[in-house]
Amino acid sequence: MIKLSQERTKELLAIHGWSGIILGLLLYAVICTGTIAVFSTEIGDWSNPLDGPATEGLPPNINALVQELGDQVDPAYRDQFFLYSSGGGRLMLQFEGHLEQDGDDDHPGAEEHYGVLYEIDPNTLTLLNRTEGPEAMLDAARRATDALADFFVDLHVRLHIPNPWGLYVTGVLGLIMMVAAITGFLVHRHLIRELFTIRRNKEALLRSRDAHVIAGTWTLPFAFVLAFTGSFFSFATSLGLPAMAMVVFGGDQERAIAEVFGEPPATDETPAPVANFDAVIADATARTGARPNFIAGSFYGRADSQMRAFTPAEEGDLTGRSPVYSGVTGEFLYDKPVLVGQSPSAGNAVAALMAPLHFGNFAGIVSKAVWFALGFAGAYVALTGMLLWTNRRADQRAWQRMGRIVHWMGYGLPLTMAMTPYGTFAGRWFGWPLETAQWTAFGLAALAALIVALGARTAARARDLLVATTGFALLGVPLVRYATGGPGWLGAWSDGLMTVIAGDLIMMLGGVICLGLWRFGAGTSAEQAGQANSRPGRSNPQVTA
Amino acid sequence: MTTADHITAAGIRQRPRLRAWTRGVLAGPLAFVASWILMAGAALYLPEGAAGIDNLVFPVVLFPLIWAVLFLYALLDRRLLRAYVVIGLVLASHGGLIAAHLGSVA
Amino acid sequence: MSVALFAALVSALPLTWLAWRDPKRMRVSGRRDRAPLSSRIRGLLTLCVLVPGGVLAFYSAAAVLIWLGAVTTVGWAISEGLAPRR
Repeated sequence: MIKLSQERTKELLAIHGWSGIILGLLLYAVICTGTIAVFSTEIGDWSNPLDGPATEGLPPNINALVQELGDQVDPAYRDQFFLYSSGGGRLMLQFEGHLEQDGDDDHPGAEEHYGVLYEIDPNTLTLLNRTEGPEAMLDAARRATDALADFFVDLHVRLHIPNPWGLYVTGVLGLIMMVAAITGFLVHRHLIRELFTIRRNKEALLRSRDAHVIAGTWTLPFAFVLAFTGSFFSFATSLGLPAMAMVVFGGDQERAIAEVFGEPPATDETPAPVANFDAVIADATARTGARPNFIAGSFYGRADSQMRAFTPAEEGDLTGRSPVYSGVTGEFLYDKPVLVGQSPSAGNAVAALMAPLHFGNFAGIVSKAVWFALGFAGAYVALTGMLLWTNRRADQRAWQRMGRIVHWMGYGLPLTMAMTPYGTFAGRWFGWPLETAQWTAFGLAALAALIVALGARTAARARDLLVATTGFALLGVPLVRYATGGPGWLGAWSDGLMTVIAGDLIMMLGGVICLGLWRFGAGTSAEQAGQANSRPGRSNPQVTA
Repeated sequence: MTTADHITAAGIRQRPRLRAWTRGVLAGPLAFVASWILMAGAALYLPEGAAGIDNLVFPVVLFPLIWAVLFLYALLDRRLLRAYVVIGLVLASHGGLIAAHLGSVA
Repeated sequence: MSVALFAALVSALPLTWLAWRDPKRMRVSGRRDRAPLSSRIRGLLTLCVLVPGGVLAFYSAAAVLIWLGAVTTVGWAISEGLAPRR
């Protein structure tokens, strides 16, 4: 496609290969979990349903309850308030303010975020749970309502590494993926000519090479976009905003946030009535054509209160809108740019595109399905690339071992992800802490996969065992969900919980596909020729594709 | 070869391993820091735009691309010394801008 | 957005034909019963693949994105499906 000298091509191929293999294992994990995270809302609704279906956007007729609960919150913790949905369509009402810590004259106390989180059943308008405490406690309570989805999202966003380090790691992985896409494009001389050619009838290395190259070629534009936008999300708040705060705002991060995101300053602390939430939601729906799914407000119960209703993208659009209302009268004030600034700008137009391009959630289930397919292809490209690299060096002991590690991650990670719901459901049934239960299931599956990957006679045998086990694990998930108190299909049908039925069917389909791949998947030419693919260290190379 | 020889450009050219490490440092941490400094410094001269925030938003949005360009350039420029000079200029120019701005504000 | 998926389906038809009679793929498969498509026909078919996306551009950027994502994954699936096996 692009004519480069042989030497230049070799250099770019080395950059492509080494950048991929060094961080490829972690990158594969980020891509796999990101693919699943596309359906995080649906996973939350499937794994933790209420007795009625989750609504599209914020539920109706909530004003009376929201105001009743809001009035119970200490005015000191009403600086910010949020209204949003969580797993199963649960309505979450959150208030936050600042709590001054004890200190003395020499060491003044620090201020920490402190508040109250209400968990509400929108079908019955009953209070399910109330949590009061520091921000971390509120976060934990919120996560418990959407534990399974949150697990995968957190694994994707920061590999469960605490901020900001986790964001740095995933940011770097995004940069590496971008470089791999660019260098892959540059080194592939016959991009168009080879677009439809996968030589599954040739030797294993050629098959591996074609599998990787063709998948990569087809999904190249999206691989670049997903890597670029993913990197942006990781670095924007962990590196970008602090840099801007330091340079432009003299280190004042709060001022930087206020300037970039346009937070309204406090002006009038006089107590005032609170606007009708139902009316605000109805107005925002009429004004934008979509029902709001998030409300963020400031200074609840004060004369300077405002609330901002975030609406999803209308059909055909990529971004939603965020009209701002008086928090006292509910009067529409102005249309605020959805991400940054107080008025429309080129910066907001570009920055606001990052979310739909990365999450693929701008057109409901249709765009999510396409993004899922693209994510799957991306994971396939990453895995086949690592397999190709290790297979090419299979005569070296160290790379043989690395090949087993690639098998562990490549075929073991789907197994660990399939086993995590077992932890979620068991934890909920037995009353265990959900995070611990999920990590236990995930960790045990990872350990089992490692034993299989390292101990199996051949790498292909390890692959087959792991794929088969994943298949059985997926088939078992709906049974465990039902056995631990989840609704059966009849009950789900009558309650309108279609996501529960759909989720179970998708699990079962995934299980059948995995078992089909195990049973009927093509072996490698090396295996069919009866070559002894031995454990690492023996002289015979092991080649899988 | 003496220690002084190792450090000179000619010395580095004659030692492939040292050359590889030197290039690795340039393409790795130095390119990353240069991208970060370029991103931060660009906020000082880019136009603010209609809402007064474009100069803050665009560098942050483009940071991944800035890094990719510097990273690939650091690896592919045949002349390692020239690559060091170019990335050094990026660091010095934008670092100097930032220092001057912070000094004037202080 | 189902119009975008429908457009992707429309694009998939000439795409399948392109893959089926692709010169390199046929050479590698050892298929000698039919001649590969000429470059002129391949160009026309490529245009047929792209036209639905062009039409969607008058509809919305979101639709074009969905179409592009769907067509690229379908293209990959077609390549995998038509890959010559032993």
